[in-house]
Amino acid sequence: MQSRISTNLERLRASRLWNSIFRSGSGTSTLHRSMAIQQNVFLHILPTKVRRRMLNFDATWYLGTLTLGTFLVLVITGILLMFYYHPSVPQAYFDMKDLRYVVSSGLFLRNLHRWSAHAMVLLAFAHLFRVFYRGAYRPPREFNWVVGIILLLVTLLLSYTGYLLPWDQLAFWAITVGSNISSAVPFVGQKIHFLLLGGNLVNANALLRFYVLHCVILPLAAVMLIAVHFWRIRKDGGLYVQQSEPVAQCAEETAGPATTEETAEEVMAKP
Amino acid sequence: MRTLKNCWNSWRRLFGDPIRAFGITSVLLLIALAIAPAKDHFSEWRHYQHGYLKLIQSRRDAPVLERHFQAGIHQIWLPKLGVVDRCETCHVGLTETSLGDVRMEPYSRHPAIPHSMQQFGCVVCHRGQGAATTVAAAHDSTLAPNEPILPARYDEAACGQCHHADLEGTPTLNQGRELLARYGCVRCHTIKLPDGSAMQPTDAPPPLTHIADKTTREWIYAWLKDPASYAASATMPNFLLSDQEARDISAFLMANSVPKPGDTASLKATSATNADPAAGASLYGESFCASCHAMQNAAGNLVGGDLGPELTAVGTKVKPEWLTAWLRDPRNYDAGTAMPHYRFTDAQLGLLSGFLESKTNSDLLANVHLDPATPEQIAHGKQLVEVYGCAACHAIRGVPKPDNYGPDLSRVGSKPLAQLVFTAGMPRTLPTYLSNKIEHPRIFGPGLHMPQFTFTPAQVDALTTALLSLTDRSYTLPAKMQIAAVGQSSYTPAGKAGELMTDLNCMACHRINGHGGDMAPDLSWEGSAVQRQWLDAFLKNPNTLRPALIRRMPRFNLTDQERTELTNYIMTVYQNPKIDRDAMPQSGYSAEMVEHGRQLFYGKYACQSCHIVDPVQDRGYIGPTLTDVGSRLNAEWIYLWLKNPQQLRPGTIEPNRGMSDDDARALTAFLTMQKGAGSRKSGAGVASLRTSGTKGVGQ
Amino acid sequence: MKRKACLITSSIVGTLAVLAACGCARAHKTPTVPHSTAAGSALQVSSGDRQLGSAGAPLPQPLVMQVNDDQGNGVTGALVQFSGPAGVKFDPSEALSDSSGQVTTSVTLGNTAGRYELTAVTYNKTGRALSVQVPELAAGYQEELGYQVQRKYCSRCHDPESTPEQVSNHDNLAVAPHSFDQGNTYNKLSDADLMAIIGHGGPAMNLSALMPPYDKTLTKADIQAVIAYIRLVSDPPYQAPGVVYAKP
Repeated sequence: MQSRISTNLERLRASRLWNSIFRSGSGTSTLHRSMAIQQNVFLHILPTKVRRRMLNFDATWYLGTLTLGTFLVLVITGILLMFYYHPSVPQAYFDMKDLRYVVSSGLFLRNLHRWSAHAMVLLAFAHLFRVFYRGAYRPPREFNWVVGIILLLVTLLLSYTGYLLPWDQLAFWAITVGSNISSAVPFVGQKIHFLLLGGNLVNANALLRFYVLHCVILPLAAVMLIAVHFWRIRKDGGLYVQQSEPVAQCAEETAGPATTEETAEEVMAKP
Repeated sequence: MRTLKNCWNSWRRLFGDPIRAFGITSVLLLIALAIAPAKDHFSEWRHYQHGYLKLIQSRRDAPVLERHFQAGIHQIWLPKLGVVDRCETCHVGLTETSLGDVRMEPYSRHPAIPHSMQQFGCVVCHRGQGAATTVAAAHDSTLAPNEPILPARYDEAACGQCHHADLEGTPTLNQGRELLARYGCVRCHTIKLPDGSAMQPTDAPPPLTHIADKTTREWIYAWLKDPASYAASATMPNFLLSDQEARDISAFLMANSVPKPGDTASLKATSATNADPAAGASLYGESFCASCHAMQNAAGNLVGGDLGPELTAVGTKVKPEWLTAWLRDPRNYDAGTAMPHYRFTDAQLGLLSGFLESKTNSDLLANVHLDPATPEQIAHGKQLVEVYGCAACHAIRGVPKPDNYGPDLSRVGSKPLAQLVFTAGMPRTLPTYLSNKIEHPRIFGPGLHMPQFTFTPAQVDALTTALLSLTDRSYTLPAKMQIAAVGQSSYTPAGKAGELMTDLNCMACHRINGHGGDMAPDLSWEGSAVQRQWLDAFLKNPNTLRPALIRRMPRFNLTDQERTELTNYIMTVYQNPKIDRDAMPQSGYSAEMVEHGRQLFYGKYACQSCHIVDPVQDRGYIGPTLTDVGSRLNAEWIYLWLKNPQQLRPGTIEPNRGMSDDDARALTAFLTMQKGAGSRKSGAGVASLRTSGTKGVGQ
Repeated sequence: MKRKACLITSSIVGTLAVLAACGCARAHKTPTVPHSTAAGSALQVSSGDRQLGSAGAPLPQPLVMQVNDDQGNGVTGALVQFSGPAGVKFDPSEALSDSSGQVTTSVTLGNTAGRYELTAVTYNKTGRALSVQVPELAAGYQEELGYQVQRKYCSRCHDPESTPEQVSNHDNLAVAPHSFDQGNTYNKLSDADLMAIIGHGGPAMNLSALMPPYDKTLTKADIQAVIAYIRLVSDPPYQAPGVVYAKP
């Protein structure tokens, strides 16, 4: 039975149809498997091979992956929420109520979006602390650290802009306080305040502006920065795993454990 | 310990391998994702709709009800009113007439109201969060811009948002509005209506400019400490003053008073002492003072009207000299008083003053002993008068009327909860706050000055209802939905007769051209209605027209010249331009017509159920007696009245019979023959007609 | 190493999930039940039954029950409990009788208009329940309007009781009209019959012409309101007829 399925699958993968869509063709050779990743427009940012040690839970606690995961959840729930939400002053609050009471699974969508946003911020900070305390910012990974900080800022801005969208008292006053802080910047503070709100008070312009920021500008920025972040991980030698990290490339690097690569089993056998 | 190790081992087997852990968590996530659609399906409102279907299955008209039923969320959407109401999702049977006997909520039918739900939705009247589809969120939500559901006892407040004139079906609201005006609430708290006008008070707090001429400092002290101890029906509330405060305020008021010449009068001693003790009481009765003033009778019941102050203990209050001067000419002391100017002789003044001065309450001032006031006390008293806002109601020399003494109540029905104070244990809703504030104004904190009124629970409910009707929604609903209050015009009669009418204060009781009271008939068309000689005789000696009423027009003892002046004015000026007085002849009808009219009176129309024509046989006394209507009313008026009474006097309870012209003419002929004792042409045949008439034999 | 960390993390997450699933315990407040110190042998209404109140509002007068012993004297300390259909609130719902054997409670009727049968219960010495049914009427909007209309236009003839403000005309009529609470008379008349009488006068149903027609004086809504009021106050109570299907 099993072989039947696998032979049929092989036949499918050898067919012309499959090859017209998936150009790399079928096969289990290393070449085929790496081509399946490298020739795919969506997947080719990822490396075709990863070091087994980088898959350790201890190394990263998967925090970065989870942050990306929550980001994907936010994008999907956010797009679904966009079907019901109008960023206009007479409608915003009532749309939020409609989502809560009338839309099928609307309450779930909104709550998931909200909780994922909090989780993403938490995970981003945890990822930051992990990277810092493990020393994964050290050369050659300095620039990736900077990109990560910018990503953190983008995450916080996404949170801040999204907070205004329900247009309730909490939203209104939180954004009023935050934008008033921005006006304390010397020389350009007032201008920043006006630019942010599209006016002097939080009003319809502010709502629209924040909506565009939250749904278009900041997510695009986030996606681009995530792409850079992943690309740099690849180019900097993969994820940093301290115990088994090979000797640093640069001369200034302090000596790490000058050992060859260990196998996974050897790693796991350690206490 | 062993089981713990086993648990740990199985956990390790499941989650140890990251790939397998991922697989398992993915499966768990998918299961968790299914929770949301499941919760969505088993929602609260679906449960109630199922309950409704179960309920109607056992009813006789189940097929019809099932056909009307639609599953899913129901919504009333009125964008112009900003209404999105989903109440019908759970309250499914609201419009089904056959569900009138269902008591189980939420399936009972909505009671019949003059508006359709599709026209207004639910939230406009009942408040609550209409957009919600869960019970708690719909009923209890206090989140802005919504309010929690209004308790059913205050339902009439919703009508008051548009209907600013009184409605027949909203007695609580009407009473509340009347109380707001009558107890002077609007003197401290401005209440503006959506059309820009302000609610006017209907009480009459007297000016205190010359108070020392009228009464004593001891009485003022006792009154300030507790108005109800002097007069149970007083509209002045209790300011909960301490002894010292009352002492100081009374000192200030007495010191601040200026004497007015003509405020005191003394009579010759003989006229007072030779009086027959009962003569005073009978003069009081003949003058019909009780039409406006109340007095407690021996049984302790309050008898009389409420236009003027209660006189149960007036002898303890006023000085005899002042009383005599007042009765002689009230306008001298208070130009704006509603008291008419009777033309009493000195003898009568003596009798009346003596009678009223005998009405005392000796307990009232028994324990009041005040030392002469010091300047500090007087100054402190003035301060207190300003603090307590006395000048908001009373005219006090040197103290201006305070602006915005109490908070503006024009939109108090929409006051956000965040702006209200509650005491411990008080339910945090707006109606609770309002009713507690009305009952115990000062419990909400120190330094509050609102006085204590004594209202019954029904009155408190009425006041709360009236206040809850003053909402923001009155202003946001389209202006054409507002029905304005029927206000008073500012008509005043002109000329010499006008002066007389002001002096006699006719409009305290009568309404003329939209201005005046409603105790007595509207005189706007009196000239078209009555005959001159009757009016003249009536003003000389007002007799009873409606035996069932206790209030009567007083006799003012007018001179002939004054009377003629008034009669001329009324007959000439107060005419309805559409009525031709001479269209129907006043006399000269044929005997057949008169007879026909009598038969109609007693037979077809059975008027004797309410009117008396023959004082021996007829007994119905709802309407005025018609024994001499032929010398009282104009024939054309009688004719028009019979055709359509409500057109001549809106709101009269005489039924509109839709009479044909011939019937009306015949009845007019019959009635114009009724000129009192000497002219009854009934003769024989009345008795037989009487018995046949009552069996409902039509003509 | 990685396996252990994985296990630890998953167990922490699992515990959190279990904790989150538990609701928090709510504090329950048990109401204090007064203990009765005596028992009567008869329970009756002293005042406050058969009142006409507004739906959802408290009744104008409190309901006063009287607990008596065999000799007819008041019993002090007997427990009287009140109950009623859904929506009715009592303040208090149970109390001990005072020195004259009376228990007073303020009743708020439910939100739907109609007739409410309240029950007052006390227990005699042997523990047997003595209950009394107390009827009360709740008027909704239509009944309230009907009450106002009939008070202005109808009650002078139909109500034999006089007040100082409104003297009754009832005894002046050759054919005495029935007061509106006489169910035996009014329940026999359908709504259409009443509409005919009020609208077109007594002769419309072969009754006395002393009853005038009101179709040109009152609106149809007003007359329907009066009919609703009559149906509410009828005693014995009015039963609306059910849907009638045509017979085959």
